[in-house]
Amino acid sequence: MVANDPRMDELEALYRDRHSHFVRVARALVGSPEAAHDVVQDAFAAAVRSRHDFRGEGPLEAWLWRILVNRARATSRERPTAGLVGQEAASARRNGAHAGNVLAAVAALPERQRLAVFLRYYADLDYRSIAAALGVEVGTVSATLHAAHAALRRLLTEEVTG
Amino acid sequence: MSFEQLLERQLEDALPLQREEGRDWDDVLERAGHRRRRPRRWLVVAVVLVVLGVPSAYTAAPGVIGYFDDDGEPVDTASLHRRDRFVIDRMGNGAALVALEEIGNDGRRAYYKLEYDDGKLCLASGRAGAVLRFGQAECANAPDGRPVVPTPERPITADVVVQATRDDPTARVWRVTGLAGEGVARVVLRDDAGGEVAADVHGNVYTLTDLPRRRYVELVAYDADGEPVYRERVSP
Repeated sequence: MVANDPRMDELEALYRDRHSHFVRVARALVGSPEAAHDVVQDAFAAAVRSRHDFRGEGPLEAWLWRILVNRARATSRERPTAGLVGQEAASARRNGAHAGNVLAAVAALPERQRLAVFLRYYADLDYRSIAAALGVEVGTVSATLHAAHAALRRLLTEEVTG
Repeated sequence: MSFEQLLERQLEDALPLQREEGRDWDDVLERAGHRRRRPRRWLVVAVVLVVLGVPSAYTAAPGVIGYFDDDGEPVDTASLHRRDRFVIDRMGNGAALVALEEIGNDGRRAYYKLEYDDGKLCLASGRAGAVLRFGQAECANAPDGRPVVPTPERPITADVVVQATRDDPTARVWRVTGLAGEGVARVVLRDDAGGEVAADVHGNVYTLTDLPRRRYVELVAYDADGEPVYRERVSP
């Protein structure tokens, strides 16, 4: 039953409060708005089905982000697109659009750095939640974001000076 | 501006946050194999509009109606989520914030006044008590540069959110919130069949939300004696 299910209520509240952030990250990872919508809906549906498996070892939201990232990865493997980042990067290379330049730079990052950047800036997660979402230590998140910032600073500077 | 702030701004520009688009919890439940709890599926849209229409004040109403003191409780910007600080930065468009004050709060929705060093005044609002305080924000377009706050001529403001559903694609009013000036005690939303939804004013704010899907046509402000003091048509 759905009624009198606190975990279900938590999931619904999380969905209502943070839906737009989940969609934005999904959009960055899989490209089209329709695919992003499906990723978010399927991620929450998976969480609803397996909510009793959540042990509370970290924030519920971080657990959701982990599910969503895995869903998005699976979708990206199934679809011929490279996600919004890849699409925008290609567009930026063609048009020199400013907003696309940063996505082109993000597209050049290794996957873990790219995910950490999205979870930090598009999901507004703190390091602990990012660590839980990616299944790594907090120190690894710090190092990953530090490396991502250094790489992006270099790539974006090259855009300007090169 | 630090590199991280620059990066945040560029990423925001590249993929802005689209609020309340496509939320459909019933669809989640359906995909999860649960029975749907509501017969209709909410699919798309929440568009923020401002109520438009022809206002008419009731000059016969006693007492001061509409005067609004926009001095409020100062808010420490250091306590804000970085996303809200980002909003402040964006709304300033190069100008520095000199004051942030909470000017209304009914326990459900809070309103804030933002003052910048170039004289610009902006108004922001959001769910009371939320980590992210600013759900929406706008800067004054009035000739005198004042933010959109109640006046004796228009003693309530109105921020209207409309929704459409898959089953009923007609945009319907879902939420109306706003500031209320001196003398306004209650705000009522009327539909075209004569039905009403009402909200009391607390802390200079009224909140009408999760509204039944009806065709609302008029917003009416009442004083403490139950006398109408102002009305305007709703045009979502």
